[in-house]
Amino acid sequence: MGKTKSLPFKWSDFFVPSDTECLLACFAMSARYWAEFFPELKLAKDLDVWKEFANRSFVSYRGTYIKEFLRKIPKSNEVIEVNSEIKTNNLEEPTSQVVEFSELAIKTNTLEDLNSLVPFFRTKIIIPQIIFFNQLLMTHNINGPNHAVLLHSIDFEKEKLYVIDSTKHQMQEPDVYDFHQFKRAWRDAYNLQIITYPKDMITLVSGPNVGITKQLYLNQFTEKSK
Amino acid sequence: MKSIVTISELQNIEAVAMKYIVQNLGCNIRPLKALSEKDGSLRVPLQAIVPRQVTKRDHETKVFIYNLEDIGSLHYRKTENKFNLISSITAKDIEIEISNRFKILTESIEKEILIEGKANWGKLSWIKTFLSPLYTIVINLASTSKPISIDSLRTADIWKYAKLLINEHYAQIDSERPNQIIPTNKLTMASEEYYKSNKHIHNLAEEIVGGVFANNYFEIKKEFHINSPTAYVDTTKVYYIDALRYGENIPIHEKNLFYEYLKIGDRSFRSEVNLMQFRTLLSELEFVKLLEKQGSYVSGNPKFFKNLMVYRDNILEGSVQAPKGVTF
Repeated sequence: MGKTKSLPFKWSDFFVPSDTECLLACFAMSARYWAEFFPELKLAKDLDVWKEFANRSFVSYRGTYIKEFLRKIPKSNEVIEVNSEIKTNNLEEPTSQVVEFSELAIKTNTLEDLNSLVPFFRTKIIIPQIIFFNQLLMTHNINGPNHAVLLHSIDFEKEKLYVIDSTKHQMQEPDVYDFHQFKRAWRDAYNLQIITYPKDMITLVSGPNVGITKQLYLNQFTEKSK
Repeated sequence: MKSIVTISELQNIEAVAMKYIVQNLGCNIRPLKALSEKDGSLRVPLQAIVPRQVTKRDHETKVFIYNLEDIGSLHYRKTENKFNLISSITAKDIEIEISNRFKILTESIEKEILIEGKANWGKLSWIKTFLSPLYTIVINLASTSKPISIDSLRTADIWKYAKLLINEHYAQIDSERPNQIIPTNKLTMASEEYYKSNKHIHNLAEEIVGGVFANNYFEIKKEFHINSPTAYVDTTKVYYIDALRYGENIPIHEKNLFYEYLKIGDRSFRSEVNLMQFRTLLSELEFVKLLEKQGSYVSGNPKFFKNLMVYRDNILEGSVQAPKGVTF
């Protein structure tokens, strides 16, 4: 299969560091990415505001969850409460939902394997993918909490996965994981992937179930896109 | 123009539960293998993997990972090819459950902290404010030795405080006039000691109230619904728990303690302004020598820390220490 395209990630503009809230940081980086292509999105422009968002503590033992942080999305250059209702559309089944707030939609998928990540690199504008895995299981063979990173690219020949890790502040380049080590750690999180996309510019509808395969029809980007 | 992205998804129930969890419950929660229930539904037990990190002044960090099994469940019913969620624990209830698990691990420490602070709790401002009826009754009984009518205590809605003093043998119901309370010999002797040593009667009241607070802590919290003074106990507890976890009487930044403090109770502190209130709490605890402070760093009373070390194993139960260099 070779190497996928790379997420066109501008480190100086998109990278949001966070020591503790990796999911928030990944979401922030995805939002920054989409704002580059769609400046009309009503998202905060100031990188510092996103840094503040990704480092705010939700102070819990259970960790943050998507519906919790959506209400705190930085908008209009300041962190404000988003009053808009969080909508959930029942697509395939009640637990496979698209969560939306005023600007971006978020879809969680539990993918079959690494190949299932590839189609998201093939759209006209690459769709940023957040992947969840048990990092300590991968690095130290210890059962630990989940970690979220943003997928940069995949090299199937070298069997390497390139990721953007919000906790690696100084790197300014993708971190590299071996397939062999990553697969087990990802499987431990049920191969969880989270995609974000501008809801007004992409329509996501459920396709027919074909065995374990589902089809997601993504309206390709309108002429508004760059 | 449309493009089609075809993906292959795992279709097992645990994968379905995982999606629900990350959207609705918290990313430290994980689904375990589903179990069949008698009514034909499927129960997915949940596990929490909670890292607890302690960082000392030189930034050396130790991480302990707690594996808490069965902290709640998701229930599904399978229809055709779909799993329909029929009931779920809430994020709030999971947080309470995890918090309760940690409380069990730290119960013995809390008792020791209450005993250690016995002579001093009564000097602290919120205890003075919220338990002021106790001071009033003690001072009246100790300074005048005059009886106090139970009816007057009931009218002022402070009879329950007097009952605490009766239980602690500082006051008793007058056998000749059962509608009034009088000081016991224990209180009379204590007040004479104070007069002899030229100490103020208020100091005696502080000492007595401190003891009553320590011995009746849970009753004051749950039955009297007086929660503010528990901040002192919880603040002391968060320091010693972290330090014991680390294994040394280390300096810990007040901000780290503040976040830990927020987690262990249903707190109203949520902003930087309240971090300032937390600093005031720390200063008060320093004044009564339960904690020590150096700038923004807090450490423990060395003697007290040494006494508490015997409880370290309780705190670490169910945890694994992560290798050096791992941080969260």
